[in-house]
Amino acid sequence: MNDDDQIISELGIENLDPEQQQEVLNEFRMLVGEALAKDLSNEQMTEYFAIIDGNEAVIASWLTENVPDYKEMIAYQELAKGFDQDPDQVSPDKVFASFAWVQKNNPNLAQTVEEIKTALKAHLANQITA
Amino acid sequence: MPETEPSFAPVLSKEHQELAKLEAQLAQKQMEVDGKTAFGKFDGPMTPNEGEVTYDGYLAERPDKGIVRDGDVLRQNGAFASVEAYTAQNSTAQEHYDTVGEIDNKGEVYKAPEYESMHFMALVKEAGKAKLLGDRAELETIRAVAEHNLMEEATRPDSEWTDEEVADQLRRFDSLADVYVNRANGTAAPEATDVHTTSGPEGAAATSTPDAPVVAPVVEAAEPVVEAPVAEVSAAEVPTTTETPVPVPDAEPIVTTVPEAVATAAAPTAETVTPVTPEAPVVAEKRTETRRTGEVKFGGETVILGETFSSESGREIFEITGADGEAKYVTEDKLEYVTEEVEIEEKETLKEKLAKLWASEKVAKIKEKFTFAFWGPYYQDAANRFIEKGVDPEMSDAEKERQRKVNHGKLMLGFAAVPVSALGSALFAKSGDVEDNKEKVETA
Repeated sequence: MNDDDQIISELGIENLDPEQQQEVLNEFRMLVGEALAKDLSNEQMTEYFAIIDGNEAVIASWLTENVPDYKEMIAYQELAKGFDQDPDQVSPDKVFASFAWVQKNNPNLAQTVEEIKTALKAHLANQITA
Repeated sequence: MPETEPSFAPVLSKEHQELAKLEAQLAQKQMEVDGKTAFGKFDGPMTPNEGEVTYDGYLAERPDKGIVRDGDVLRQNGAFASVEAYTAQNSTAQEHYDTVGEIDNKGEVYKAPEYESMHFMALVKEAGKAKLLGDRAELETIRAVAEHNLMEEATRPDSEWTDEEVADQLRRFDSLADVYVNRANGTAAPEATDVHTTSGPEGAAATSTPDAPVVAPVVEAAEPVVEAPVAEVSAAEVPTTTETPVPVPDAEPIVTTVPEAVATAAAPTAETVTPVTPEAPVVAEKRTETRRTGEVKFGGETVILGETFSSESGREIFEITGADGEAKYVTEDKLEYVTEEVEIEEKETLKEKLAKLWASEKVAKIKEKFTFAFWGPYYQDAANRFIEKGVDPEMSDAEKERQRKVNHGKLMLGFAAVPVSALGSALFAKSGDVEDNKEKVETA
């Protein structure tokens, strides 16, 4: 079961068609993103934009300062596997920094995600019964 | 006719005989009264002296039911004061509680543990206990339940477990149960991580920074400090001798040498001799020793396992402390502590597994979110609706671009947040963490 399947199951939308399910998943992620962004300063958001845009200087600087031994971490090593053969050449530094940044800058991350999941599930259940 | 000797014995009259009989009865009664009087029966309403044996006291304490002496044996006299008294002597404990009513000795009712409903680590704990008790039959039962649970997991339709993985899990079960037993027996002693220090954040753990893994400082072993008072000796106070040994218990005597010239100058007369007798040294009575038995480092966090003995309470306390020095788990029950230790180790192992699973099996999907292909035809439509959210046709191109960027950022934030929230600190797991932990815990 992958991430999407698990969320679909948790939200109780297994019976929707795949397109609708995808729409709900995007909605869910957008709601989470909006909720987290609400608590972030403009400086923090700018830093995050730079990371997901692939600004190498910002990524290197942030990683050195916040996760200096990131190259020893399992998640990074897995992301870096097969980088040479990756046609998209997705930088493991960028992907890892993006995830690590989210983890470091959102102390109530898990709680926020769960709250939104619960609220969305209730909303969807009401819509389906209506 | 034979002659008979005349009787010279006095012939008592009937009245005299009656008198003698009454006198004998009086003497007997008098003796009884004297005995009771001696026990204080006829004492007035006076408060008896403390500890004095009185007649009332004797009556109050005299056993009047239950067991009586019959010659050389003790027997029941057949008389019980009440039904409760009878059941108290003749029933089982539970029957007695039932008779008395409203008291139920629930503690005596044995309830077999429901192993079937226990999770993996709870079964490990039970297996460890059974091993400690040497109860092989129970151990086999528990292991069978663990195996059954694993097989059920492996045979679920969507399960990806192989037989080899099931066997691995069983080996892990046995090994964790052994760890449990070793910890409980204290058979594995710490080496380099041993410390004797006062309890508290400073002694228990290093300060933590969020950026780097923390290595708790290993404080050099030091015996509890005993402050022995060292008398200040001056020439004026000790004029009579040139050498004044100051006894300091448990330490080499300190010899204070007063220069002879100074001593002589200070009027050395016999009357002024003042022996220096320092006060008895105050040995610290309240002593707390903490022995760190292990250290688990993971994802930049350090958890310290320790045992604290307090001479004040005379008890041993087992505690698990975080890198911030805050006690995360404190108990006086060593078995509970051992369970928590083993579970922490297990949690750390799970963290590493989670990180590997997340990063290896799902890495392709994660990378996908960062590629153009992700924003391809299938997703474009759905994504555009979010990207265009709040983009007003009246806006300048720069403002529109800015708004799209913000929307994109929020969407990416959401994409990242969901898996990261499930992963937690395992995101920062390092490949050597668990091996390090195992080594440290196993030697601890």
